[in-house]
Amino acid sequence: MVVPRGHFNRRMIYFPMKYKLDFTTQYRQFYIGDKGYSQDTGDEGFWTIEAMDAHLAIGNGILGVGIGSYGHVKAEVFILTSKRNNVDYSSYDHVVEGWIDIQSGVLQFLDCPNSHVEFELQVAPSRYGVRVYSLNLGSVIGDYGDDSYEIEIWPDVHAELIILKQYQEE
Amino acid sequence: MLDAFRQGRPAELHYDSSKTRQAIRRDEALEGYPLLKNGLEREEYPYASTFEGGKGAVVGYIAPYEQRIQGGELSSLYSTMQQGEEFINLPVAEDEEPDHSPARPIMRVQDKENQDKDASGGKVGGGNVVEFNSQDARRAGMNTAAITAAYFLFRILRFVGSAECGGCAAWAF
Repeated sequence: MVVPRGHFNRRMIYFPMKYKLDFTTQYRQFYIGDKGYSQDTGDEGFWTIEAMDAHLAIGNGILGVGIGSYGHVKAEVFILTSKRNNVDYSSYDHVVEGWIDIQSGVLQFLDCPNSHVEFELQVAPSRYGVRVYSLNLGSVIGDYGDDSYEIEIWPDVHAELIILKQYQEE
Repeated sequence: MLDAFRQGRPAELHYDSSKTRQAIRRDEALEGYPLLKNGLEREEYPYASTFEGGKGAVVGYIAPYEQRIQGGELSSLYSTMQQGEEFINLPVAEDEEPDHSPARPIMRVQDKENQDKDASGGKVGGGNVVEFNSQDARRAGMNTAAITAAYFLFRILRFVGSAECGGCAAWAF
C-alpha cells in the first residue's frame, strides 16, 4: 500500500493530566464506565463480599467505587502514561487497584443510582489500570464526612484487582 | 421494606431523576432518625429517587453492604427508565420460606404395617423407611412393559405356529 506523501495516519488527542471532580451520588458509590457499558450493577456478581472489602467492584466495562460518605464525591483524576510506583501508602486510608476495558473510546464517571454522566473524556480503546486512593475515611460519621479520593488511570493490559492498603474501620 | 408494605406504602413507584429533589426527599424522610444504629445504616422506602419518597417514608436500618447492593440494583434499573416511569417492587425471598415444610419420604406398605405393629406394642426395630424416587418408578414401569410385550409376542407366535403354518411350530407349545 502506498501512502501519499504528506498524509499522516494518526490522530492526536490532547488533554490535561489532572481533573477535579465534585458531585453528588447516593448509596456510597459511584461508577467509572466505558460509554454504553453492558454490566448489570445489580448483578450479585458485582458487589460481592470481596468487592465490598476492596471498595471496588469490577464489571464488564464498569467499575463501582465504594466511598465513605453516603452521597458526596470529591475526587481528583490523574491520567498517566504508566503505573505510578514508589507510592507512600501511609498518606492514604485505603488503596485499591483494578482495571477497566474501554471499547467505546469514552471513559465516563457516573453517579448512583441515576447513572448521570458527571464527567467524561476521550481515551484510546484499551484496557486501563485504575488505582483509587481513599483519604479521610475516618472522618465519616453516618452519611457525611470529609473523605476524598485520588484516581489514577493508565493503559495497562495486565492490570488486576489488588488491595494495596486495606482500611480497617475503628 | 416489608415493614413499609405492611404500613401501607405502595409497591408501585415512579422514578424521578432530579438529584436535587432526591436529596430533599431523603433529608425529609430521614429527619429525626439516628445516623447509625449498631453499625447499621438508614434506608428509606419509598426511595427518595421516586416521587412517592420523602416525608412519611418508612425508615429502617440495614448493613452497609446491603446499601451498596441496593444502589447497584436501582442504578441498573434506572438506566433503562425515563423520568416519571413507573416500576413495581416485588420482594423475592432468596432463602427458604419460613413456612416451607420438608419433603417426607414415602413408606412402602410393608414398612407401614411394621410401623403400626411397633406403635401397638409389637416388635421394636421394624419400620424400615425408604425413599421412593423417580428412578425406582421408571424401572418398575419398564419391567411391566417388558412382561406385557413378552406375553403378546407369545400369543402371536402361538397363533402363527398353529394356524398359518399348519402346525409346523406346534411342538414348541
